[in-house]
Amino acid sequence: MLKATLKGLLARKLRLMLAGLAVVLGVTAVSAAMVTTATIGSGFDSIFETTTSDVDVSVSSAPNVGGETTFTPPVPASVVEELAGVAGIDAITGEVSADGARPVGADGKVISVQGPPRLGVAWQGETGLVELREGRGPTADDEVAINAGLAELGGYRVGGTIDVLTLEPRTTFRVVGVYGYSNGTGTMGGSTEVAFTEPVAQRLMLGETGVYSSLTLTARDTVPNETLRDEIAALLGDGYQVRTGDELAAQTAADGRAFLDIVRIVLLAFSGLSLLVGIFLILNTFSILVAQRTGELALVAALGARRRQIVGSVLVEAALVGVLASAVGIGLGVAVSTGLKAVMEAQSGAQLPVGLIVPVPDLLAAFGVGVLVTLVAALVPALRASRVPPVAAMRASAAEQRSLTRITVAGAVPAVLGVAGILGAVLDVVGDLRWAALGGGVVLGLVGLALLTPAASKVLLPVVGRLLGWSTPGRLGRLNAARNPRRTAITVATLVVTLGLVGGVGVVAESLRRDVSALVSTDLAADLVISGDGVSARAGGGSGGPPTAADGRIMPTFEASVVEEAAGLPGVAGATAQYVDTVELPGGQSPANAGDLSTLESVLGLKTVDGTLRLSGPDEIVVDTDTLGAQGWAVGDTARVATQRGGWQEYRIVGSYEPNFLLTGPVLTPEAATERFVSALPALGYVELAPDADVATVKAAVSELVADNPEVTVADQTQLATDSASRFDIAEIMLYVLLGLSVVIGILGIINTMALSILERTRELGLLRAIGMRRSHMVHMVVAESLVMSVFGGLLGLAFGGLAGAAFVSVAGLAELAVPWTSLAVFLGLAVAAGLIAALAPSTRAAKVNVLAAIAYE
Amino acid sequence: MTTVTQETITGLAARAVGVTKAYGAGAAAVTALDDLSVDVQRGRFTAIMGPSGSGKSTLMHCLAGLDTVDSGEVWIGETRLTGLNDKGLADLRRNRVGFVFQQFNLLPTLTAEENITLPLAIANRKPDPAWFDTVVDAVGLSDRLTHRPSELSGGQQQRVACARALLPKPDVIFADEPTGNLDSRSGNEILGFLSRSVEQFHQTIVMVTHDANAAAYADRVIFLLDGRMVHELHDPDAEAVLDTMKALDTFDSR
Ligand SMILES: Nc1ncnc2c1ncn2[C@@H]1O[C@H](COP(=O)(O)OP(=O)(O)OP(=O)(O)O)[C@@H](O)[C@H]1O
Ligand SMILES: [Mg+2]
Repeated sequence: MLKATLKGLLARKLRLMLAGLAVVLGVTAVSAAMVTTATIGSGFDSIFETTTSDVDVSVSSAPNVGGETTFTPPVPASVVEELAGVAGIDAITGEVSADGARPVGADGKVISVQGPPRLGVAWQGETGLVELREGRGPTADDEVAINAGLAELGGYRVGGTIDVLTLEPRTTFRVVGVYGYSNGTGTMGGSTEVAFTEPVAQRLMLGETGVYSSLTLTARDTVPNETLRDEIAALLGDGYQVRTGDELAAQTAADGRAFLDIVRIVLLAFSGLSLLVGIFLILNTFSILVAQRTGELALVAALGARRRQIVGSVLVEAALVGVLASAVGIGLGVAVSTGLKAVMEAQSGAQLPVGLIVPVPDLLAAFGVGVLVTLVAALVPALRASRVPPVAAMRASAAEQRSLTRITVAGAVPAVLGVAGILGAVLDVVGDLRWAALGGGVVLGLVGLALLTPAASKVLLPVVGRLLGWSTPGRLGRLNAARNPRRTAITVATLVVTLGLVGGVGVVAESLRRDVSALVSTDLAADLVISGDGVSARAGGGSGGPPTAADGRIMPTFEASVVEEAAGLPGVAGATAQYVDTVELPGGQSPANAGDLSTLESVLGLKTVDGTLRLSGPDEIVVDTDTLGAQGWAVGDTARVATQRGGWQEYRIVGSYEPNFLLTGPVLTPEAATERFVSALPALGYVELAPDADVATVKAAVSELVADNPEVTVADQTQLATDSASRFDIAEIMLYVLLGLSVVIGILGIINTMALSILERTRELGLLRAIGMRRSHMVHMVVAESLVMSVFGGLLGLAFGGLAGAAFVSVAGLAELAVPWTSLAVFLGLAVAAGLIAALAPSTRAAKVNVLAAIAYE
Repeated sequence: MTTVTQETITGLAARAVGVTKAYGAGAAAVTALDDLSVDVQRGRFTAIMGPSGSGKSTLMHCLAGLDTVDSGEVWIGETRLTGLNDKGLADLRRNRVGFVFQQFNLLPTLTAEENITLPLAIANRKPDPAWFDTVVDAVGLSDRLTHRPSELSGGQQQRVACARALLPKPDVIFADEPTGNLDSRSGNEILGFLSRSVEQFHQTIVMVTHDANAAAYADRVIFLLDGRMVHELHDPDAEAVLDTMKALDTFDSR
């Protein structure tokens, strides 16, 4: 029997290759995700071990606001003297190193790196870590050295100049040196670095001279690091964080991993999806393979083989394919991760100081999954085939006649429950459970949809087919697609899921966008807004946009004088500035703003709820009603608020307002902001025009005022609305990329099914050629089959996703349901393209069928 | 393409002139057709017989434009097949040649009626309703038109295939052992239908068969041996055919 199996394997090379391909794809995706994650992870670890290798103990201030990644107040130089008496200390170094040194590139735009910080540091000379590659360190106030990563990114050279934005506006420096690191890389995990002389670094990065970001201590040989740490912690008290070098390394690596986590999640989501799709593919492929062999198996059974032997032979075949294909898949996975690593290094500017890390246990698991799924995929149809009575099986296509009643009933139950859940949520009969009802409803609905697809294909395929297949070859293609509803269903499953997600996300995102831009235009009275990217969202408590102060990053700001000058321009009725930051309240973090409320009130359409909106000093605030409620405060109370620079202080609440899209949280005076916010400069400026002024002229004049600031632009209302809405773009695009990959796999799935179906129907194709179909007719027929399937899958997915999205919009209480018809049409177009691409190879094959060989084909 | 009238200059529906066809190369080469010339008269029922491997199917495939020849010429009516491109051959097969194979003649997705009209449908032509009814009546399928092949018996399936071959009024219908898979009653029905189409509709038919009784339905029987035409009989009875076959067998095993 084994010998017969092996012979059979060789005889069906093409089919097995297609089955193997399905396994290879699935395993490749999973193992690529594993290897990439492991590689990046150990790369980060190794970077941060190097960074902190010569630190025994580090001293920094405890942050005023939030967790580890937020702004930390500087350490005064006086602490160095305080520590001078500690016996265990061998040496103390004051470090200046802070995120927010944004270099301006040759194109006048700020050089952006996705994720890693843009550090401004004080030059310490060549240490064990830093090695000059060219030039020297900075000695004068207008000189800097930069790391090689930045030099490469921005094309800077020793002897040239570099413009840098820091806490102070754009300043030009001379580049006198370029340095790299002892591990041979030009950047630490992708971060860019600008090294100033110490006083300049202190002023630009920390806001004042005579302070440090942290102190680095070396312990005497006899003193353990932990002992020294505890001694210093006791000496300095609560206001400081004292950590050993190892703790610091762990912390910094963890910070770096926050970026890695996003990559990991994306990769895992991708591999999970690919695994799922891969399983679909494998199952489908094997069920076709076994169906094709049902006749052969029946013949063997008729010749006296026992059922166990038949199933056994299919399993041996599957095991061979599974092992071989999984091995190939793992090899390809490693190759793909090499590519991914290169892409990521190019994207982030980071070079990982490690080679490819291959996590053997993980890969063994991936291998096991590949083999196991293949075996299961083969076993199910083999068992089914072995139960078919030999005579029935020897007659052709017994497998196609199976009834759909059971699967349809099985699908109707979850479908009805799912619809009930969604309806319950939309009609608001389930109260607080509506999100659970919606989520559960969507999941159940999806399960129901999957099981109902075969039955749906019976009804819908002719409809779709009529749209596409008007001629006889087209009609034949449609009939072929409708031949085996189960197979069609499982073939289009990937497309249904993918386009379902895309459609749902599209509808939700578009509705959110519409909602946000509507809010912006109702709330905002100003005609022009001066701001950097994403600031307005931050001011109103939204998230998204580029990194801002709250993420430990510096947000784009401009000088306060810009607003004053703007107010004096002809055609301008008034201008006012808004300062933006994140503060800590007893109940957690909150956005905070500052500005002249007498003007802001009208510009932002603020509604006074209680008290007054006029602040008479830096220790008075107004607070929005939501925050008041959440904190249990009332107007007239004294509230404790921690600002990034000022720390915990008491403020008197003089009034409250209704929060809106542009403003939420405590509002302080501009004086308080200058002193206590992370950036002393305003981040938003509002300009109101005189009644007869020309928007374009005034906009040009105001733009002129911020011309030297590459991060800040002047937008009119429509632009602002678009900008605010654009914060959904990044999430949406990431999702689309992810789904794009699964569309690719979906296409491969259709190709696979089509190719197998074509093989299966070789005799029919020969007959069609014999009775006079041209090659072009054959191509037409196969393309029609593929198109009908992909359009069917696409429509089903988009319809389901669209409805689920609409339900979400309704439950979330968004103002209006906006359907992005264009995007949906584009997605449907993608499905059509997928169908066309999938038909390429199979249709060529069908056209090339040799009539005589096909007629003699077994 | 040239239009072909019923009355052609030669009066021949198809002919092979000095056709040679070999499979394989070198020492392993098999000569399937060896400088063979055959004329197929219009409106006649021709049977081809011979031992297994004598080249019957090969000859039929070459005549029908399904296969190419190594040398010599093949004509359908006044159209020379040698030299036609694939599109030309496909169109010729659709409009001017009919086929009935031993089995697997029908598309399982189409009903009997759709299978019958398929060649016309591919060419975007509508069948003449009267002619369609005549053909369907002749094969006795009027009440089976909406059935799919899986719901028809083997004999009925072969009759559908015959109707399909007849409907476009081709120059010639080729049938390769059309009764090979059938019991003698169903087989006789098919043969009766084929000979009636020759008599009543002046259809030209070429049929390969191993069965002396089947060959007796034909107007003329051609005997092949090793790719050559070795004998022919006109208006034969089963007896004569059997005798010739016996003679060929001894000749073969000599
Ligand atoms: N595709 C092929 N490749 C190689 N040899 C072939 C091929 N087709 C036919 N032959 C050989 O050509 C010769 C003629 O074959 P053909 O099929 O025409 O015989 P036949 O008379 O139809 O036989 P049968 O009565 O068994 O159907 C045989 O020797 C056969 O082995
Ligand atoms: Mg033959």
